[in-house]
Amino acid sequence: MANSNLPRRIIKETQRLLSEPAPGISASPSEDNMRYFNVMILGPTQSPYEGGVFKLELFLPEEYPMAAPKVRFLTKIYHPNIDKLGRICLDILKDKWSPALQIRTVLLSIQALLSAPNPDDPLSENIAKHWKTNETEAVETAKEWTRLYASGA
Amino acid sequence: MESEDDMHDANDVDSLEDFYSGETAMASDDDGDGDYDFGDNESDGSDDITSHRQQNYTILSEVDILERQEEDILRISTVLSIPRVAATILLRHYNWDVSKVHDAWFADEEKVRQAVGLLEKPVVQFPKSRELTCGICFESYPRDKIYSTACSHPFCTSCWEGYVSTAISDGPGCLSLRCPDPSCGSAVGQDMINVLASEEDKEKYTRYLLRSYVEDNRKTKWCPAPGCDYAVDFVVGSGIYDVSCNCSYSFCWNCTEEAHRPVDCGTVAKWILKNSAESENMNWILANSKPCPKCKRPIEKNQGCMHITCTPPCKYEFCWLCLGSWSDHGERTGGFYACNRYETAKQEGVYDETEKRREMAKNSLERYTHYYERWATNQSSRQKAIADLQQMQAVHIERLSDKQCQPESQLKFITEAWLQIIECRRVLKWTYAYGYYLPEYEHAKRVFFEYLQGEAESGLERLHQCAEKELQSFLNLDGPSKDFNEFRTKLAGLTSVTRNYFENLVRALENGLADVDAHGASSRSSSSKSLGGNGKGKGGRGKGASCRSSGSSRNLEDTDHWSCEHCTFANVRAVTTCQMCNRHR
Amino acid sequence: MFGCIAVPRNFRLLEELERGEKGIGDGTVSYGMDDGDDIYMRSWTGTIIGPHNSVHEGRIYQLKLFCDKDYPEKPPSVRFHSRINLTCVNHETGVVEAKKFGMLANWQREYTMEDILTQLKKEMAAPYNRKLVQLPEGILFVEWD
Repeated sequence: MANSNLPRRIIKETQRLLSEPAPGISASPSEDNMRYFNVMILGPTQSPYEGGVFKLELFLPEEYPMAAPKVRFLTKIYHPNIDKLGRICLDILKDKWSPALQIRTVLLSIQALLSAPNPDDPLSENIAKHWKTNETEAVETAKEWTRLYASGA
Repeated sequence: MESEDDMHDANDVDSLEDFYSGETAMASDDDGDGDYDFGDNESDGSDDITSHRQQNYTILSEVDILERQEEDILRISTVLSIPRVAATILLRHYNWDVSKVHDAWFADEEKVRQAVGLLEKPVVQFPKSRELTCGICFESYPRDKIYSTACSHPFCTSCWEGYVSTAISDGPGCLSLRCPDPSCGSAVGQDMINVLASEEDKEKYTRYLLRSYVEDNRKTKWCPAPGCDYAVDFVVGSGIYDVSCNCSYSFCWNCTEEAHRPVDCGTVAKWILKNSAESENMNWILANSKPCPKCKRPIEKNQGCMHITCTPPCKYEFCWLCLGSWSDHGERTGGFYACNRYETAKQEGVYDETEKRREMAKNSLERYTHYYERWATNQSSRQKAIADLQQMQAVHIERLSDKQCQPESQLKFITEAWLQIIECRRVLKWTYAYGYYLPEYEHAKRVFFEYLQGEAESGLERLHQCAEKELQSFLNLDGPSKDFNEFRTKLAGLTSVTRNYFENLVRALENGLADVDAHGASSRSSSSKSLGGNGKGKGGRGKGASCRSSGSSRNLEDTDHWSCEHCTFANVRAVTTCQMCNRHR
Repeated sequence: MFGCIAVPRNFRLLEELERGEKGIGDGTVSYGMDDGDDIYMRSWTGTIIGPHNSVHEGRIYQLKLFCDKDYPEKPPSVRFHSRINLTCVNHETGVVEAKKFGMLANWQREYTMEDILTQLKKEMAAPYNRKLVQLPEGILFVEWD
C-alpha cells in the first residue's frame, strides 16, 4: 500500500496520537493502510459502560480533513445513538464537521457520547424508547451488554 | 344579418340576466369595472378577472432582484454603520427582512453580533513569530500566506480554498459559512469568498445569494414556470393570490399551482390529487378523437371551441363535450346551455340493492369523468388558444392589416378577444373542479352555480367560435371586405359580454354562492337582485344604485313573475318551466 | 496506486448498504443485508426484476451474495435462489460460475454488488439467454448447504 503521499496533517496527527494519547483512548494506524485506524475506547467512569473496552474502526477518506473521518463501533454496545452495526449518530461526524477538528477530538466526542447518551436524537429507536420510558432498566441493559461483549476478553 | 342576430341574442340574455341580477352588464360599456361600486374594499383588487387595477404584486427580473438586494444591503449598511459584507450577512440571517434586522440590532447589538458571527475584535492574538501554523494542515507558513476572519484563527490559503470549495459544493449553506475552528462562530463573508474561491465557485456563491434573496424572503417566490427566471414580489395580506408572470404564465402565489381563481387552493389541491389517482382511468378521455355521433367516422378536434362540424357530406354539428346536437345548445332554442350539468341516472327505485350499489359506483366514476373531461378539455382548449394567439401576433395581424387596409392599432380587438378566451378557458376549467366538490345536497347553490357556469360557457363558446372561425374567412381573403367592420363590432361585443359573464361567475364563486343562502332564507320577500348580485357581499355592490336597472327591490309577488319553489328562481310569467332548474311550475 | 485511496472492507460495505437502502435507479435491481446483527455484513440478498424483451420479463429473481473477509479484493460468491436457466448459472446449484461470467472472472475492487446485479440483468437479455426455456416462476434451487 502506497502511503508515500500521505498528507502531512495525517502523519502529524498519527504521531501525536501515538506519542500523547488521550486518556482512555488509543488509536493506531493499520500496517497496510495508514488511513485506517484500530481504535480502543475505555468506557467512561460513572457511565453504564465503565469497565468496558470498546473496539472501533476509523477511516480517513480521500477528502479528509475537508470531510469527516468515518468511524464505527466493532464491539456490541447498548446505546441510543449507536446502531446494531456500530454506526454512530454524532453531529460532528456529519453536518457539524469542521476541518479544524481532528481524530483526537472525534474520539473524545465519542467518549463523551458514552457518558451522555442523547435519546432525543436516536439512531436506534428501540433503545431510545427504552431509555426514555425506563432509564434505570435501560442503564442495566447497557451494563449487562458491557459485561457480555466489552469485558476485554 | 347573422352577426346582428348574435348580438341580439347576447343582448336578450343580457337583459334577462340583467333583470335577474338587477344590474346592467352591457356589452357597450367599455369600462367593465364601472358597473360596480367596490367601496372601501378597493385594495382587495377583486375587480377584474383579466387585469388587476391595483396590482398587488411586482414581477422582478434578475436585474431587478439584484437592484433591490443591493438597495437593502446599502440601507442596512448605512443605518447600522457596518461594512457592506456585514450587512449582507445580517440580512441573510434575518431572511432579508430589513425591519427585523433593525429591530434586532437596536434591541441588542451584542446578541445579534454573537448570533451571526460578526466579531468586533480578534479571539486570538497572532504570536509575534514570522511564521504561523495552519490549524488544518499543521504546516507553517509566512504570515502573508495565512488568512483568517475577524477572529484571527490562522489557516493557510490552500486549506481555506479547500474549506470554501467544499462548503460551496455542499449547497446554499455556504452563505452562512463560519470560521473552521469549531469553537469559533466568526462569519466568513463574501469578501473572503472572492479571494479564496475559484471563478466557478464565486459564480455559484453569487447565484446562491440571489436565490436566497428570493427564496428566504417571505414576500417573494420564483415563477414556477419551467425555464422562467422571473420572481414575484407579493404584497401579503390582500385576498387575491393569482399572479401573472411576464413569461405569460399565471399562477397562484399561495400554492404555486397554476392560477385557479375563483376556486380556492384547498379544492385545487384535492382535485389535482384526485386526478393523479384516477389518471389511469382517464387517459382515454384525453384522446383527441371521437366518433361523429351521427355518421360514426372519427373526428379529430383540432380547434379550441366545442362546436364541432363533421366533415362533408355529413356536416353534422355537435358539441364535443356531450356529443349532442349543437342546435340544442345555447339560448337560440329557448333552452339554457346545459352541457355543463351532470345529470345522474333518473330511474330511481327500479333497481334492487346490489344493482343500486353497482349503479352508484358507476355513477361516481361517471360523475368524476364528467367533470374531469370538461376540466381537461378546457385546459387543452386554452393551450390551443395560446398557440393561436401567438400565431395571430406573429403572422396574421400583420397580414390582416395589409389586406383590410387597417392600421395594426385598429386590430387590437382581435388580440383582446384571444386574451379573453385564454383567461376564460382557465376560469372555466377550474369551475369544473369547483363543481365536482360542490355537495349534491346544496341543491339551490348547485342550480345557481350551473346556471352561471352555463351562461359563461355558452358566451365563451360563441366568442371562441367567432375568433376562430369567422376570423379565418377574412384571413383567406385577398382584399378588403366591407364586412370587416361588422366583424369587429361582433367580436368586440362578444368579448365584452363574455367578460361580464365570467366576472359574475368569479364573484359568485368567490363569495361561496352566499347569495343563494341569503335568498333561501327569505325567498318569498327578498328581491331578485340576489341571484346575480351581491347585495351583502364584500364588494358592497348594493350601493351602486346608479348603474342598476330599474329597481333592485322589485317584489317577487310582482304579477309579472313567479318564484320557482325548487330553486327560488324568479321566472317571467310567460314560461311554465323554471328557467333555472327546468322543473315545472 | 497513486492518489487512489482504498476504502477498507467494512466501510466499503457500509457505503454499499447505504446506497442499497436509498434505492437504486429504476428499482429493477436491489439488495439488502440478511442479518442486521452481523457486524461483518457478510450475507446479502439481491433481487433482479427480469428485463423487457426476454423470457424473464416481469419475473422476480432472488440471489444470495456472500462477501467474505477478503471482499472487495476478491469478488463475493453469487448464487441464484430462484431457479433460472442462464448460461452462466449452474443448473444444479444456482451458483453464478466465475469462468462463464466475466465480471467475476476479471474482478476489480471498484466493482460493487450493484454492478454484479446490473450485469446479470443485462445477461438475461443477451441474445443467447433471452429465449431460453424457463420453469414456471417461483421455483427455488435446492439448498445444498
